[in-house]
Amino acid sequence: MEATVRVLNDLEAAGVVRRYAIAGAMGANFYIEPTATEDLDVLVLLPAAPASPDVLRPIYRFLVDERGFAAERECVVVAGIPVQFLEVFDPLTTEGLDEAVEFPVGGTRARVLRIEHLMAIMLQVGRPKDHVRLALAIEQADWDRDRFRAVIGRHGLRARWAAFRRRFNHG
Amino acid sequence: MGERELPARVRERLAAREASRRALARLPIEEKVRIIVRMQRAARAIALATGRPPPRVWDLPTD
Repeated sequence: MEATVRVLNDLEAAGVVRRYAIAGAMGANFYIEPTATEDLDVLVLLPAAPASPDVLRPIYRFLVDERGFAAERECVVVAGIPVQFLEVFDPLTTEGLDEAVEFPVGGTRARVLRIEHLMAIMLQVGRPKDHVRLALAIEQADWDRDRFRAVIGRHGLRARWAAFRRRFNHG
Repeated sequence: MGERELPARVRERLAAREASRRALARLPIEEKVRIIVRMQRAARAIALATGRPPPRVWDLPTD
């Protein structure tokens, strides 16, 4: 995974993206017990408002055309791991990317969303597997309750949180 | 009829399991990735054995 993270850092250093952070299941795996996943979700902020509807094209140009990694469906396989890039798409993901933190990965560092933002996104997306990961995060991660409450308050997720707590008996 | 409490041996077993999962959560990410790849291999073997589309297994270099 270190090799994959080094390429993500190169992507940012080369200015192809302004900022990246690992999100999704793999992001959660930095905080909870390992859970199965098939790809690495990466949130990105692009340098400028793209003129083309294919907003991720510069990333593919860098990774596929220049670095020789294979594009497969919606992913690019970077050093053995399928990576799916997603441009920030709402105030929650924008804030999550802005406040993301770094973790050591071998001899380099990866930027990862804070657990409180990952939890809020799990709540927002709301699939059964998101709820399972949210329950694991509540039980296993070192999360800041005040920060989480502030995040869900800012992004209109309090009702979903209340419903989740009722359903899963998290007091 | 009131709710019956789980037998002590079951509660102990669940508590031990929970402690083990918390310990897994504290592993370095490199070790977690190794576990995830093992899970991917197991999922692939099961899928192949049961005629379902096999999921990808990450092909990691040396790390």
